Amino acid sequence: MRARLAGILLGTILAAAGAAGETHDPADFIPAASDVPGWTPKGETQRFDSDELFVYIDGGAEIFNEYGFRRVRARDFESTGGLGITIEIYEMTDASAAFGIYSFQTSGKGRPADPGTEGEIEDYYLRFWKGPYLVIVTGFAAGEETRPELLDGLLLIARAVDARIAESQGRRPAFLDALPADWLAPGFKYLRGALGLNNIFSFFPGDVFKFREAAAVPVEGGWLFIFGYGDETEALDRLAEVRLAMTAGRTYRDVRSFPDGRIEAADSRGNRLVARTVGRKIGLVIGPRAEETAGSLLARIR
Amino acid sequence: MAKKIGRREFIKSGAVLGASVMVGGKVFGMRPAAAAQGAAAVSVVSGTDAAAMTAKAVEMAGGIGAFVPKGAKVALLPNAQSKHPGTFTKPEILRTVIRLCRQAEAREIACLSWLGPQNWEGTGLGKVVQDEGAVLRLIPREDENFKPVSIAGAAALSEARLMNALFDYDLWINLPITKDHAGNRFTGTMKNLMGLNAPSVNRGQFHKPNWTTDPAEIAHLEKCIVDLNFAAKPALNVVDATEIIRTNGPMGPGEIIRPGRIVAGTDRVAIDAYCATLLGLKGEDVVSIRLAAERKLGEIDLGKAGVRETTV
Repeated sequence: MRARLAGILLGTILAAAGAAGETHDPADFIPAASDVPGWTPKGETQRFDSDELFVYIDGGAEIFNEYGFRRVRARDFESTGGLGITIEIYEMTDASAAFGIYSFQTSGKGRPADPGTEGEIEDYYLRFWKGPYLVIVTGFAAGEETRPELLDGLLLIARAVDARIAESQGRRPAFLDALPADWLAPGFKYLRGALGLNNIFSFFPGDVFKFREAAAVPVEGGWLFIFGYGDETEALDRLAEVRLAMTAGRTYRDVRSFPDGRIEAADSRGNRLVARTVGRKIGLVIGPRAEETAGSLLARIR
Repeated sequence: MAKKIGRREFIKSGAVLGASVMVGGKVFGMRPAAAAQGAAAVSVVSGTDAAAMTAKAVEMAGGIGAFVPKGAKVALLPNAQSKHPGTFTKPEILRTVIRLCRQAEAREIACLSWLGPQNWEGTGLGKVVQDEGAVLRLIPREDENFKPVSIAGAAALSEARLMNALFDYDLWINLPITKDHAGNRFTGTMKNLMGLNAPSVNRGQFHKPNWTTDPAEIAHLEKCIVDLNFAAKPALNVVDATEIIRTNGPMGPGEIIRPGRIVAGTDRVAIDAYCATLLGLKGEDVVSIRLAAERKLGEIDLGKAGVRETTV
């Protein structure tokens, strides 16, 4: 209790400093041993700024950069029983970027966790985001019998980090406000670029959609994508480019346009695809039954 | 132009440098694929005992003697990138391959890596190297420690820079873990070769400045991976598909799946096409596999390649 209070007090101090316009190194959010009874910091804090991220996560750096990355701090902890936990605190460019990479990485299959604005605990790790920060706490268990202790440790340490983060909770990107709430259940992804899109579904070898931001919602056997553009003309032009790219390549067949502006196609993997513009957005459904489900799904885009 | 091995390269456990085998810009095993005649292109062993599975997979691929001649100097390339579960080659697989090489009377067995000692400590792979009396050669990242190798007919990478140290060995064995990878969704035998290539090239040419992706050329990384695989050829691949991450690769943490398999063989395309299925993908879904097949590096059609499976 005393440790938690100390964390909250430190958080309050950091919040006051934040209000005064000062910035904090994310290393400041790594708990002291006194904050996390039974756990002890081990080794030194690892620090990677800007393009040094590749040194830390190599090929995994690109997706962080796509969302907007500033720096990361990492520190190992060890329990009195010899279990290990690693904390990684990624400072992103803003809250939208932190939420974006959080949504990209969480499966939606875990249990909600209370640290941060949103958090999820899954199997052996816990993720949460708060303000511009993504926090990942990973446990290393020696066996099933140590799992309860490890999961308790994950929560304890994550809460201690949360208490130290001074920034306000932050909010999800405004782009998502217009989407139906049931589409934004755990498992949906907020996208900022072609790499994230390609990770979910590889439409083309290049970036044909050229969206500014997007949401990907798992639907029956496939995905619903909502791509955002600057205005209606840009969305219409982009859909025309998508149609052209489909007819030019070998991946798609039966590419058809309809008077209401929608396009339909089939791909070589047995999927059907339906897409149309809605104002400055493109809605697209891909999956084996897209022709049956797309009408009602796309009608809900505002 | 090739450069000499930098003095700062340090060698644990007393490695002895020897002559290199460098033919036509490619690194070969002394007795490449022909030695495994009669073996299936993809040998798969299921089970729970990684050591027994590894030994059986190598046996099914042709036996260690088909790849490691007596007196050979052998380099090993396990994946030690991250200590998160399901992201690195299991230590027991490395241990078994070291022991198999020793049974084949290899003269020297060494792991090569430009990753730091913390990677080898965190994954437990360093302890295996030490326990088994093998050599861990940690290569500093500076370009002087990497030898330029031209790649004829390259699609994106006309010149690789392979570790100078690699050329001290008669052959090398590729020991990747197959797993998810952000963006291209898959990593296996072919992508593991980036662990032999200079970090400056991996960073500056495989990836765009500041580790971003060129929107007009998402497949650039994949093309580079395929090109690199024309510069260096492992004598054998032994892939960890026991417990792997299906999401948030290459570092994790992510969703762990347990295919419980070890996959061995010489055809990198066929092996990767098989491993892709363990992640719910087809070989054709992974650009690097598709491009490598188009360039005749190997067989993407598993029916044609031949897959032999057993359980231990």
